[in-house]
Amino acid sequence: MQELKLPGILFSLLLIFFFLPAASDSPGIYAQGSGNLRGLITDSTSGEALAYASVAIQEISTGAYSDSKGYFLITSVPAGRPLTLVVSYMGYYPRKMTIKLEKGKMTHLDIRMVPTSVVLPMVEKVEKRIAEENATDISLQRLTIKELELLPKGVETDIFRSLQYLPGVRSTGDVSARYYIRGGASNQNLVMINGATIYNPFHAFGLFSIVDPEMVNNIEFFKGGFTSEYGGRLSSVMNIFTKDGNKNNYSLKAGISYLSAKALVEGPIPYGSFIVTGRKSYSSDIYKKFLNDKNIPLDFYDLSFKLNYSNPEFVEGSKITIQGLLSDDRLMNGDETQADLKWSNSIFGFKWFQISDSPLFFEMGVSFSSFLGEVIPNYSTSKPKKNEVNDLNMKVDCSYVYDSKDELGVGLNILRLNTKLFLENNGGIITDIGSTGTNFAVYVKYKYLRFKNLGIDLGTRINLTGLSKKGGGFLNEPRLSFTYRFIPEIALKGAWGIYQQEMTTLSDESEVISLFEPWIITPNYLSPARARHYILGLETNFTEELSLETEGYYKKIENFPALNEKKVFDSDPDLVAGSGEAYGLEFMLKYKFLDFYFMGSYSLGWTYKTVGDWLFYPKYDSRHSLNLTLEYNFGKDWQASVIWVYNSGLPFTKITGYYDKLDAGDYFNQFSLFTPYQPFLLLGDKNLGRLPDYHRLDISLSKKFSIGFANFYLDASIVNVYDRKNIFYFERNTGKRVNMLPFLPTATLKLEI
Amino acid sequence: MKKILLSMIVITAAFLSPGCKDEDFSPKGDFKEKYILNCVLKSDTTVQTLTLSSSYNVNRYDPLANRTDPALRGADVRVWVGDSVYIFREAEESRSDTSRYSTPIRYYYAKNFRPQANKPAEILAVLPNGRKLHAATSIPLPVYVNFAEIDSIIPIDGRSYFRAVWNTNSGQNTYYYPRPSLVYFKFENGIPIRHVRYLPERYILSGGKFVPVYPSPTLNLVCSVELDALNRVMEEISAGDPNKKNYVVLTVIFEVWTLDMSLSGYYSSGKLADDGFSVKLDQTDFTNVEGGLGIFGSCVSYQFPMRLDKKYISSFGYKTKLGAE
Repeated sequence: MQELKLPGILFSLLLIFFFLPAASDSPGIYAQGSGNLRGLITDSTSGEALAYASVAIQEISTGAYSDSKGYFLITSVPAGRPLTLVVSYMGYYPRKMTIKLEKGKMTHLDIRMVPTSVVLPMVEKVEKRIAEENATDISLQRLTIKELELLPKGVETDIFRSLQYLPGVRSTGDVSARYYIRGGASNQNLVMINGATIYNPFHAFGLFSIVDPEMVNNIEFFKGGFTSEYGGRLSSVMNIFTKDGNKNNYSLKAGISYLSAKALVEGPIPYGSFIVTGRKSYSSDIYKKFLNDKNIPLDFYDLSFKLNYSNPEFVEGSKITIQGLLSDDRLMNGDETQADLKWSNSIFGFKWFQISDSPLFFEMGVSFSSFLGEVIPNYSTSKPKKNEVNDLNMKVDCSYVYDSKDELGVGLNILRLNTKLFLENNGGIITDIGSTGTNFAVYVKYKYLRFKNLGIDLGTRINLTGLSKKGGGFLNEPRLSFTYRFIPEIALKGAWGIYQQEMTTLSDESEVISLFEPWIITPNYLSPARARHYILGLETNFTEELSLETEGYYKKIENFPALNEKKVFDSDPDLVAGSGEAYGLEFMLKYKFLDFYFMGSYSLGWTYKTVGDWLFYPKYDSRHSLNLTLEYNFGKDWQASVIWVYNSGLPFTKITGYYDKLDAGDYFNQFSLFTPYQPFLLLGDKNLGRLPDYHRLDISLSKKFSIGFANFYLDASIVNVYDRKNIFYFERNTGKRVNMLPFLPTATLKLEI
Repeated sequence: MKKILLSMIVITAAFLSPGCKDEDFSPKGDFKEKYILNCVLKSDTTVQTLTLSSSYNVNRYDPLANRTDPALRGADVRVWVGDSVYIFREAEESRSDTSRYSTPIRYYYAKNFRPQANKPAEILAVLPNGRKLHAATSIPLPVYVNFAEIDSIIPIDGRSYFRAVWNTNSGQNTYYYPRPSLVYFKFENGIPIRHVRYLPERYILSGGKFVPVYPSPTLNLVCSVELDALNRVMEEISAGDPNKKNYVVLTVIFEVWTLDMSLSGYYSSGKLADDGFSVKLDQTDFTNVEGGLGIFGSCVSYQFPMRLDKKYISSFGYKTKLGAE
């Protein structure tokens, strides 16, 4: 491959615009004297696909990463002569094999990687560098099976919490796994499981996610600048890809933590495999640690399954998968004077993935995702509320890889969404403020990868029809991301894009804990929210072991729906349009050496919101964030990790005094002005105060051991080792300080047969 | 050995890290004194009252720690309704609950002042320090009843509740406060003494006990009372008294108050949905008082009787009229 100098970049951009049709019409699939190489990389013991493995052909210094399904494709490989293919993946023995391609043909390889418990020297570095030279992956984080296994376990292993160690990802406390990306609200994050949207991905007030980590194969997480195949949210995209299940043997895993017990069964079926996992809470005592010693009668379960079928006699090169995820949470007080709550998700999906002899990937998927949330007031002061979301989604994605290595991606996405939100007004009248809409979107993107030191991903997403009244009409969402590698050690990366969101939650940002966050389509009186992302970054690989990623971002959001704080009467609108901006710098330093792995991330950011006449910092605006992670492999299946997290204080509104407020309810009980008064806070300007800095140290120790035919995995962790009193909030009426998690030793035990 | 040493260093460093204590942090900003006026003009009396107070601060964070009554004295307060002006005077009344403030309740009052429906009203309070609090409202119209629409007799066969329906000329967002009551007499030393017992809408089971739920202000133009609630009240008025003939039950009176728009807004904004677990920190505060906080509102009432079936009254052993039956 050629290299492109900086002045050529502008020319290349022009080239894409003007010659894209020509490239698409290119008649020859194969360059002269070459063939194409496609491969599927799997675990030799389970047959599970290995995503993001690096593949390189040494003689021609070209390579690729496997995608989330384990596939890779390298075009224009010289045919007729032996070449050395090297495949490497963390936690597996690297494989080196000789290949010889036939001219003008697609060669398919099934590559089975053998796992190792020994941390190997970084033999894959060269291949990795070759594979990622021009990858347009700014703001994209990928987590693999092995990385997920190394996550700190804590009370309950949680993939969402682990993301909070990444720069630019913020949470507002130990209590919630909700996350905020680069100044965006939590409802601006798209969470998908195998492409199907999860509307409420949390158990227990947001303490844990509903996706059992045991089920996860890999995660693709865009912190911004996501490409045109993704739409519907303003800030981030997380796509969770689940495992297929063991294709070779039946296997049973069972685990227990302080909170829940779970089991996983997987195994082969004719032409495929299955996996089923279930988790059920059995104790609610641990919640007291999270919620100020409150007794919370909460019960939850989740159940996931996936079946896949790949029969060459049925359709060669096809893979059909059927998936499901069910979750249910219930908070039942057993007292008529208190409200009960319940919420659940039901997700089902079908996918057809097809490969062929040409360098074309095709995938068609249909999914149904529903969310149900309900507040049952009984005879409490709460009002009945019920939210239903029914999402029927069809996606078609095609990608074609040219000889030049350029890629063309096209697809369509039809989303039929029905939301219902039943609210009771103060007159006891129940109304449904939900609505129904269809978003018909098409996308096209062209990945310009012909130069090995330049990658450009240029695309657009066009909304032919919108979910909301003002959301369709060919609204265009152009996207661009690029990577330009000056020298092998340094790459400049960037992204820009326009993003639209036509759904929102009726969430009150002044709530530090909120139980009911219903989803609705943006009401007709508001325009859909739009965001612009500008991202620029530098990736520096100082040595084979040491790398530094730096990213700067600016995000501008318009028309986001904010809760109308001036609402007095039922007839007043629930939402008003707000605007916001966020900007900052992020650094991530990684160092791997023998048995050590160190990761340090730092982010400096500013976030502002404007609603009505107020310009303020939202509750998740933290100026500084620092996460330090040190992992050490002692050998003999012993592993340890230490994580220290520091965040500068979050905004809050200061108390400027108190007054005795006439309690309207009590006034009418007594019909007297003399006694029905309650102390009420006088507050200063919104969110101008700052809570004290947050910091916490967690350590964990893992050991795998075998007894007979069974493997045991013991994980012991200590959360908040030095018992830092991190403030969560002050109870306004009593002044009582409520802290976050105290010193908390935990343990989980997992059995594998 | 090297590994053990490494582990010990990490863990020791962790334990020696700073920050094990609550740091010196205050959620409070600079105190700013504000003034609060509360006045609700009522149509069922000729004596109108209001309170004036100031905001306060406490050393730490518990507002209940303030034991100094923040009531304000020495203000000049006037209310205009139509062409009439009413001057309010200072007064005191002893306090029954002295757990927080031990001094008498200080308030302002005006006599011979019955607000007239459908008239604008305005208040101006000039505080001793010269600060002015001003508010305006419009006294609402009372509801009216079409007697053909309300239950003609209580109870109605086959129905487990009775209800009253009213009509209004007020606009949307107006709150109505229904207060059904049972009027009865009890003979004490041969003299019939009139009693009024407010009726709950229903009783609910809480902590193993039945607790009454009284009607609260509503946007609805209807109020229902469960028959079971009436039955309980009927039993409770003579509970422990074997001489049921000592009681005369006459009727149910339905009183419906109409709140003006200011008072409706104040009430509506204070109705927080509390699920017991959500934690909300910032609070919205409705006021129509310019220069301060609080509420200047008004409400007018309308009463109408609902007849009780004599057989129903007699079934409890009570008499149905004061004279001989």
